[in-house]
Amino acid sequence: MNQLTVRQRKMVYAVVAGLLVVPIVFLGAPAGEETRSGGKISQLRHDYELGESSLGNVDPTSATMNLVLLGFRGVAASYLWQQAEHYKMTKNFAQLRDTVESIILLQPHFKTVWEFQAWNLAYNVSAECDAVADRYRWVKQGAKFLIRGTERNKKVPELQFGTGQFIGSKLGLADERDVYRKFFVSDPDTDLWNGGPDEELNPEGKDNYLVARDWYLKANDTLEEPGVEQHRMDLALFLAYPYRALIDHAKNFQKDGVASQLDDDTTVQGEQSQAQRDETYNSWAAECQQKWADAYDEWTNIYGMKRIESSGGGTIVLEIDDAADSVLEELAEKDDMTFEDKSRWRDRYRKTTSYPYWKRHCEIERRDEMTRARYYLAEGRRLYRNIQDFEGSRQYLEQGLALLESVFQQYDTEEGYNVMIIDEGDTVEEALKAMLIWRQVLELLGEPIPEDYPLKRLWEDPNFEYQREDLNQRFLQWQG
Amino acid sequence: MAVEPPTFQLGLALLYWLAAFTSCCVMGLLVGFVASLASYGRNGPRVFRSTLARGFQDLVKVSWQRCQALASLTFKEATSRKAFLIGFLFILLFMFGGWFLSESNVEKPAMPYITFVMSAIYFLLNIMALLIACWGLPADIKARSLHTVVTKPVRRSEIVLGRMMGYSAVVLIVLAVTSIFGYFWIQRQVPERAKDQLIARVPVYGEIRFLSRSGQPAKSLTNVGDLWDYRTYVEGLTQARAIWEFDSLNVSELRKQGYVRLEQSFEAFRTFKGDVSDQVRYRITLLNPESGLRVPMPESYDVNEFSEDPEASVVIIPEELTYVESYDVDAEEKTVNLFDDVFDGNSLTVEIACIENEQYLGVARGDLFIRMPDRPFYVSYIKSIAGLGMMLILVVGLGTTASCFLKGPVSTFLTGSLIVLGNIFYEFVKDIYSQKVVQGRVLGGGMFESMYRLVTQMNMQSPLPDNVGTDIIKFLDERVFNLLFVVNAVIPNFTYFNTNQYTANGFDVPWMGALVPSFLITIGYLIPLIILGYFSLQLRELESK
Repeated sequence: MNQLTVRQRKMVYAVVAGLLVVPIVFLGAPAGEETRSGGKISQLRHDYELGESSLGNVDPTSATMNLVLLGFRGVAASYLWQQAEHYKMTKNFAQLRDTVESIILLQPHFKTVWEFQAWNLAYNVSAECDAVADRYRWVKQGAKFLIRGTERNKKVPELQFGTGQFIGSKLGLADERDVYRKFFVSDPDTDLWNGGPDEELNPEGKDNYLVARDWYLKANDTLEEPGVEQHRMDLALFLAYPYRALIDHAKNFQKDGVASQLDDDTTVQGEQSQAQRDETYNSWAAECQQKWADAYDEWTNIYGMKRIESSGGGTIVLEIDDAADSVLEELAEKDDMTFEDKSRWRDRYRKTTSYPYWKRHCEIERRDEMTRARYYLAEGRRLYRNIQDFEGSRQYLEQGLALLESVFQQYDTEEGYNVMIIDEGDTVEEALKAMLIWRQVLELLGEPIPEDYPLKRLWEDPNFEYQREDLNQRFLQWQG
Repeated sequence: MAVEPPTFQLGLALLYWLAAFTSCCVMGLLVGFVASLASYGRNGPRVFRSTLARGFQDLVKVSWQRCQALASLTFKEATSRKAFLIGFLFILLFMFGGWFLSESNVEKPAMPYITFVMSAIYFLLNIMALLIACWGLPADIKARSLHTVVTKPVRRSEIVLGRMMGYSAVVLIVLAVTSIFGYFWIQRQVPERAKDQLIARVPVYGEIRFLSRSGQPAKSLTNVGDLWDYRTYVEGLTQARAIWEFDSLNVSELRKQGYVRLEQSFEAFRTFKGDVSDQVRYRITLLNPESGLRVPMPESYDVNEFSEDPEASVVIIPEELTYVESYDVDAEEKTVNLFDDVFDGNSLTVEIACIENEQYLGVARGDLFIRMPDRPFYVSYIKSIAGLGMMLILVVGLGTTASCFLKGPVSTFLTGSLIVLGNIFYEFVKDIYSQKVVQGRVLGGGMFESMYRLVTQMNMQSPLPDNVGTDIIKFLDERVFNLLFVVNAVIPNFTYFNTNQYTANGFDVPWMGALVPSFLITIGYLIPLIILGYFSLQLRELESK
């Protein structure tokens, strides 16, 4: 070597360096977009799911920050948490948002950070604002934050589930739900979204419950991956959420459709207008029944037939019919249990998940009589309250109550009680409200209450005395 | 976001400084006298006197030319030590700065971008100033290059001053370059829809007073239980009022503008949700206490709480005001001139009432201000940078002085600690002090009481047992508190230098609230630091390294 010139030595070094690159590339090449790509180490990391990329998207800043902080990541994270609380208390929300961003750089795979801070933004911060559009903006911030959490933590179904809850329950059950649900398909920030939805949350412009359902389904899919668990609630309940979201969607479609579409048409007297209204009604009714039918179908045929892990051992299915029973028999045989044992565990889980209730609810609501009954009752109320057409109101209310009575009758049991009266609280309340208006209408028309009328037994049921009084008070206050 | 109106009392601050300076001088003289007695015995007083006399001469007869020469030498040294590399680090940080501000998004306001730039400058240049100031002199002493300097006809006070000037020039040049870079980075990065937030609003704050729900003067209004007691709450549809008096207004400028712009950041507190689509509303009445004129504004206004658009919370009061005195249908309409009739000289009084039954309006002094014509963003930005510049000069002063009597690592540690203490400790002790003054006690007690509570797992509110031990603990804590307050009085208050809260929130940096205090703090510390640095270097044995 010593006899070589400087130039020759440099050449040798370059060749050696070039040769060494080969094993380095072979072993250490980073993974590309395809799965199981890159060098040997990268492939092994993928196979054993040891890399950070197997947990979710990798943020280079996060990795850099953790390196730069050496061993002080914990100290820095604690300080930032305190700062975040301080900013929340002093209502410095812009700084709070940025501090939260810094926290997730340090703790990208700490599920609680994502959950806690998303709730903070969507529930606590939003409640501080007075304008409903501002409140909605913070709810969105919380949901978007959680969505980023799901991207960074693809094997944490709770985050996907939480996103579903934000979009489904927070938007759908808040006091501001009517406005929030409108904003969800038509964002108030028109400069940015041109009157359409916020595409980061709702790219297809769907109803909030349908978007929530997609997130719940993602959570269920994640749960099916090997080694993934959720620790939020009983598995059977967790798995039910996509199908419950579909039921909520149908329920809200029914409610929105009757209220908004009919309120648009104020000239009810004209013949042409009536034809238009009929057409509107028929189209809405068909769609509404289809949604309830879909909800029923998914609840019974998909969720009801899902293999759900049972505390009694093995798996069960929740549905009860011939096909489901034969599946349960197979499962009993496979798990080395008797059919009776399996049935006993199935009944427990049916109670836990209120499976029969939701099935019956969908079954009732998908009926044509039920759709018509709800339409007639809403129309009767509208004619009374908005147009003061008392005769028209009376007709609609009587038709609606009669139809409702016919549905109620189908659920009378041999033991003497009615399943709908016991279980369908919302429907009972709607019927009581309709009867209050109907009685008021009769009084205004100067006619006595007839001896017999539809759902008389409900009106006279002493179990509903308190509810009736309460509704009456509210009716007198709000006039319908 | 609440931006609290600045409070700085110039006269009081100067008096305070004079007292602290005199105390430090007296203490320094005492220590020096005792040290000279210990070192020189009977000759101690003579040595002490001659050192003082020479010190006085050296400090008073400073040659600015020699200082400049030494500063230029220091500048060259720093350049050769690649001090400017920090600028490249800064630029590198900006290249990837977008990463730190998350991948989103178009909805982001301008504030985080401004905060990022200011924070980056703040931290990087602080470190730079700390290192070059603390390591320069010890390195020269070690390399014996300082020996060459001291053999020349130069006073040691000039060495200290020249060093400070040279290092200051280095950090100020880097500050200028990075801030220009930062300015253009902000302009480029801030999303288009947030560009209008890059302004410098000029607020004029007033004094606030209250009327209770029965219309009587009150110190504060309803407490709604908010943990943050910044605001007090005006009850809706009662006689409760919040009244602001704006004095010393520039009426001719306002008259030229043709209107008065009021901006508010009130908070709504609801006892019930009511109609979720409607906001809590408030009403403005303009008063002239001299003539007794009351001019209710014809409209009421939405609170627009926490709106990111500053314009949503602005109310324009026109010059010609038409109003009715009562709610009678036949009430006569009257017209008055805002500047001639409503203004009382150069003062304006504004009364705020909440007009929603059983709802509350949260108010604080800084929640309503008169917004004078806006200035461009760069005005506020330059002022913020000037504040940082003064802070860097102070850090250089602290570091250079420390390096006159300590070695590099130790002086870095000392100066770094002072910076941390001046930023965090100052606020902490201020909070403790205000608790002691206002409530007569500190929540959880002092050091000894806290230790007792920790060991016995007692919460902060429970009273201590009534015994001798408690008396001893309280006695000791009182001494610790006094020591803390003394230490706090000597540590520089760094919080004034960070004016980011104004610039990032779209406000102009106030002269009296931020820049004048920053300047005075810098000067106020540099004077004793130069004296201390001089005596340290004068009495230091350079050969001991």
